[in-house]
Amino acid sequence: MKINLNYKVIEVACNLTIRELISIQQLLNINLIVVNGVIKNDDYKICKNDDVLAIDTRTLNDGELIKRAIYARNNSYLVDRLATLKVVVLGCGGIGSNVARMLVQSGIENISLIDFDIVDPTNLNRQFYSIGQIGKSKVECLAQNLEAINPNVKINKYYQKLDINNIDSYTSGYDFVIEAFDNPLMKAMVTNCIGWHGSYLILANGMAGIKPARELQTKQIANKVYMCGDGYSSVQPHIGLMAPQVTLVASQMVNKILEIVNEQEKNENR
Amino acid sequence: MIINGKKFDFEFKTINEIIKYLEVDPQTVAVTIDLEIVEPKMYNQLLVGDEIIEIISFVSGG
Repeated sequence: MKINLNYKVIEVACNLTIRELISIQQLLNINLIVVNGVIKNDDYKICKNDDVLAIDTRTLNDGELIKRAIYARNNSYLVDRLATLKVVVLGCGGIGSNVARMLVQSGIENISLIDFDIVDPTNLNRQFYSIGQIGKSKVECLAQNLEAINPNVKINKYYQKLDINNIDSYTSGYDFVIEAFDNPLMKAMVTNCIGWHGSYLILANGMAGIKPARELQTKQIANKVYMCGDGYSSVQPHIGLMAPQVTLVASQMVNKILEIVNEQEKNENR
Repeated sequence: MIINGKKFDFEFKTINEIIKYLEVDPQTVAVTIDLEIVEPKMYNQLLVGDEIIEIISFVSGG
């Protein structure tokens, strides 16, 4: 029967255990076994078409195998499809930096980042930066942080302020556009300029303060346009932006992308 | 006419009238009619009267 071992299709005998497979394949010092996205012991009996990752995590140096290992716990049937998606993140603050992190963690490898700002200390309560990055360009720092998760990721960096005149050129050609600005004028500008262009547009709106997570929703507002957040909580005196709410909204946005891609994959395989 | 999920008995002639009635900043809104984004330059066009309209007000934070 055929199985997939460390991203290569091989032929093996039926009723083989992982332990026997490791011995036959002469794999050394294996300390991590993942089968179909689930961690297994070496007494697991392999089935037809199983997706097996068996590696020594201490000596991992094969780029493709590293990539497969990073995404071994994701939904395996989406790995190749997600790797081909192109996503642009408009704004690299609380929403944008966390969205970008989760895009990479989800297996999306082609990401464009657009922001004209630098990291400051008030960003560190919710944004994906560290103290040593204060004063540096957000797009540069975020690209470094993303590459530290997956070195295979391709990041396009644009140190740029967007406006009505240039937004088209910076947002065309992507599968998904993530609106992650802080300013409501920019949010409206993005929606009104490109909300009807053809790419999926995922917006963030309303995430200030503290409230039950159930108040944060993902709502379709137009064809291929989705809005995440509670829709009303704005920054006010003493009502700030805190990591849990911001990260919840960022999670909703990436989750919507995964839902859409998952649905597309299911439809194509029906 | 249904605006933001509520049925309105009296009718607005244009989106601009709705925006004025709701007292929202026209610079920070997006408007959809029957799940299509309306370009701001069309906000003065006459409405038919049976549309489902959403006025989305954006707030700060990101």
